Amino acid sequence: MGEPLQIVSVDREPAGWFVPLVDGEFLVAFLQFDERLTLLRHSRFPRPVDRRLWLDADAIAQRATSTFPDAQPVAAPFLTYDGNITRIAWALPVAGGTIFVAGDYAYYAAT
Amino acid sequence: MALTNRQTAPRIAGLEVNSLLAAGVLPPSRFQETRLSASPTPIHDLNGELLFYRVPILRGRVTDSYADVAAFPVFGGLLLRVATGLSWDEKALLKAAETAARKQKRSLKFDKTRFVAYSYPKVAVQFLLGDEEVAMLELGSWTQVPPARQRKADEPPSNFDRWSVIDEFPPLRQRESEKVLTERLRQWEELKISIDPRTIDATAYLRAVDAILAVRTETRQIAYSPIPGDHVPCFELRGQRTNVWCVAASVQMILDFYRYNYDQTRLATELGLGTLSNPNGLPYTDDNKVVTTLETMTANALDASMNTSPSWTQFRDEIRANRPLISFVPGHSRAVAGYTATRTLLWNTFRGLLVYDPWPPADGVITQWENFDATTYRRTFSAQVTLVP
Repeated sequence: MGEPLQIVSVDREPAGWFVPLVDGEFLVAFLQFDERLTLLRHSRFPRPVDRRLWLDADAIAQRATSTFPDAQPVAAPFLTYDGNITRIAWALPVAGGTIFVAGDYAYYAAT
Repeated sequence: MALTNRQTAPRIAGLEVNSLLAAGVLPPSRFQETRLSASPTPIHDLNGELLFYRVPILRGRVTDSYADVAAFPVFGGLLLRVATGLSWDEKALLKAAETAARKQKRSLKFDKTRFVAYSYPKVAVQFLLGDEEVAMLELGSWTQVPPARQRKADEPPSNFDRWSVIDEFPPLRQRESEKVLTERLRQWEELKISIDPRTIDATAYLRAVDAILAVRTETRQIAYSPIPGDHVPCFELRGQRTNVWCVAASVQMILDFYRYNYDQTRLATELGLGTLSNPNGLPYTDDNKVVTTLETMTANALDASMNTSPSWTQFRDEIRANRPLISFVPGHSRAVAGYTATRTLLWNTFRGLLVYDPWPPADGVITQWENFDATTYRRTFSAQVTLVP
C-alpha cells in the first residue's frame, strides 16, 4: 500500500483520499475515501499502469506539458477530480486554463 | 419527523443494549436477565421538539438503570447512553417535581408537564399553561432553571444555562446525522431476530444473531447466462476514448454483453457525442438517447428503459436476472454488473456495486465494490431481450 494522497476539489477544498496499491513500479488498484473517511470504493486497473503517471507530480507535469507544449504552468499539479468525484485526475494549472492528466491521458480545459 | 416512537424506542434500546452486553461492554451482573420497559419517557428539546426517549431497565419490578434512544436526528448514534445506579420512575419524578414547584410557588397554575433536556444531557421538568412555560425545575435538585441568557455568537453555554441542542447544531450536521441514523435504523429493522429484544440476555441474543449472520452475505455478478455453473464474470471493461465519452463507453459495454459489438466512435455518433477529434458529452436533457441507442443499435432486439429514481432493489433485481445496467451518477456514467450485501459487523451491512467504470480514459477501472450507501445515483438504464413472438 502506497502513501495516501489527498484529493481536493478544483477550488482546493478537501474532497477525500486516494490510497494506492502498488506492485513495484506499477499501480494495480486503489482505495478511495471521502473527506470523512467513508470508504467510497476499491478499484483495480484491468492491467497494471505506470505508478509515476498517478503518483509522481513531476512525471505528471511532464506528461501534461509534453501533450500541450505551448502551455505555461502557473502552479504545481494537484490531485483532484473532473466533475464527479470518481473521475480522479491530476490538474496542472496553466495560463488560461487547466490541463487534466488521468493516467496516460491528458486534456485541456479552458478557464 | 421523529426517528423513533414509543413503540420502537424500547426495541431499538433492547437491540443496542443486548449487542453491548454480548460484546462484553456492559457488565452482566447489572444487565443480564433484565428487561426494558414498554413505556419509555419522551424527553423534549428546549425548543419543544421530541429529542429522545428514556427507557427504564427493569429487574423484576425494580429499576436502577435506563437507556436513552435518539428520536431527533442531531446525534451521532441511536443509543445515547446507558446509565446505572439511577432509578427512573416517570410518575414519581413528576409528582416530586410538582411538590417542589408548589413549595416554591404555592399559586403555581399549569395544565401540562413534560421532561425537557434544558442543557443536554441535563433534564428538567417543565410546567406549562397552554403553550407557555410557567416553571422549569432541574431534575433532582428541583432548582428553578433560569431564563435563557443572551450569549455571544461563539460563546458556549455555561453550567446552568438553558440551551437547545437542536438549535445549536448546524443544519448540515443534522442532515448528516439523519442519514447515519436512518441507515442504522434500517439495519436494525432488517435484522429479523427471533427473540424479544426488550429482554436483555446476551446468550440468547448471540445465538439468534449468529443464525442470522450465517446467511447475511449475498454476492451476485453478471454471468454467461442465469444458469448456475456458467462462467462468472461475463462482462468486459471498455475505457472511454475521450474525457467526455463515458456514456458511449457504458453503452458499448452493455451492447458487447449482448454480442452487439460496435466501435465506440460509432456509438458516439449515434448518441450525438461528436468525433474523436471534436468530442462532446451527453447533455442532461438527452438522457433518453441512451434508451433509443440501445434499441436502435440492436434493431429493437433489446427493450431498454430509463429509471429516474434508482434504488438498491432495482440494481439487485436486474443483476439477479443477469442483466447489466448503465448507471448515471452526477457528471459520469458507468456500467454495473454485480452487487454484494455483506453484514461486516453486527450493526453494519455493506452494500456494494460492481462497477465497470470507463474512467480514466483508455484504461477504465473495475470497482469492486462501490459503496452504494455513500454514492448518489441519478439514472439507471436497463435493457432486456425482447422475445420473438
